[in-house]
Amino acid sequence: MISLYRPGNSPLHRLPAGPKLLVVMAAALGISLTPPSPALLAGAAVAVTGAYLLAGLGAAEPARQAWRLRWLVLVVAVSQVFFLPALTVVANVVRVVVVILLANLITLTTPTGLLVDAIERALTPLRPLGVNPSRVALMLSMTITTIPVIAGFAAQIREAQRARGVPVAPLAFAVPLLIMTMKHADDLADALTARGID
Amino acid sequence: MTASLTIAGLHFAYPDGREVLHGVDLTVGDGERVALLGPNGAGKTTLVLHLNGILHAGSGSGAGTVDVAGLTVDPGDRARLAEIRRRVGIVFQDPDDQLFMPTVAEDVAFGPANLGLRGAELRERVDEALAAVDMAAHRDQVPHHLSFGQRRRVAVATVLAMRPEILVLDEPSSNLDPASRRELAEILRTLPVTVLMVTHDLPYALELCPRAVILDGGRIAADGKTVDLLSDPELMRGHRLELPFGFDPAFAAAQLRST
Repeated sequence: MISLYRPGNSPLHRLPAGPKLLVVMAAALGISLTPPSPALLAGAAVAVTGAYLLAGLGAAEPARQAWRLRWLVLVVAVSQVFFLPALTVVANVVRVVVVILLANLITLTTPTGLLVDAIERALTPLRPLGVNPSRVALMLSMTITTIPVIAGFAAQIREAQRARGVPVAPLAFAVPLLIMTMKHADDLADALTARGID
Repeated sequence: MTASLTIAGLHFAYPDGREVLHGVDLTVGDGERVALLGPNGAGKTTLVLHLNGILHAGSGSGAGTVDVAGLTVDPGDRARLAEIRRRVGIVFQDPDDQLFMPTVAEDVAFGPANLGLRGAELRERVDEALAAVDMAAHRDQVPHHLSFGQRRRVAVATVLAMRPEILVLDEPSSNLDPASRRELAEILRTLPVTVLMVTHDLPYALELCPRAVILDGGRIAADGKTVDLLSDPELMRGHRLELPFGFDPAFAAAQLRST
């Protein structure tokens, strides 16, 4: 499980996962639909920073998160700068950054297990349509647990290649990674079957 | 003694034509601890996957029967298969394949929750299984962050929580440092279940299992007291089994009796 979660006891930590997800989804929608007015977007940025402060994460945290997004910002900005007025480009960039910061705020203040539970509850009304909420939740949580395992495979392959002096070669990297991942998936399936899930 | 596990005339070939099992006959009594020894490619893993119906005659071509405490493994009978999977707990070699929930306690609860247990009963099962492997203090941790030895113990707990008839361990001592290996041995020795342990670690087999069987070429090649099998140099050589340098099984067995 990737543990981006920072334990804490702020109002944002105590807010149940379901409502928190809903609020953030509504806020993200709102920000995406805001007209490109400098005042409104600056307000949104300030509000998000305020939320980080409320969560006890400090004012530097949103800045750090935004800095990590610099390449995404560059791609978004460059792809629009020739076609759109400067104000719109800035507005779009701010929107993207603010929405991502909001989403990160959920991960930082909610244990993943609770998020998965909230999603499972949200899917319960879909049961008559043939959706099995607990299976979807299991799939989600297994996806999340598998990410560090596969990242571990990737590191292992890179180390083995570096030890043999292999330069960065996408194919020589992707093929063993794919094979290890598929082998892991096979073994995981056996383990799931052995524990009573078909 | 009633039989926990009865395998009769088990043959199996994979769909690609590889014939792996050539008529395995094996009976394991209730409460017995048996080591399954054999060289690489002897069919040990294939045999293990038959014990709870992950592999069966229909997944390749095969014949023979597997009985678990009176229930015959039949891939067509799903309700019975579920009961057999509860009774046969397989601990896989790589704990990372077996642990996939966000916390240790949730992982241990996964199996019993699938059986329909909830609330206090479920919590009791989890506490009992974690206590049995001495991991109760780590219940809220992320499995991925534990040491390898701890992860293997949690993998054992996930299976114990199902209250199995028979615990099947695939290479339980592999990749463990000596201290973790000893800790796991101490835990396995106290468990009140039938154990079938697949291993290349012959001293471990001697330490934990009074009886051993050698699987080679898809057949049971020898079946007897672990100390007798390990003390027979010709038998050992004939099946590509080797003791660690300087290890004397008779001496070790005498040590075991005196403790």
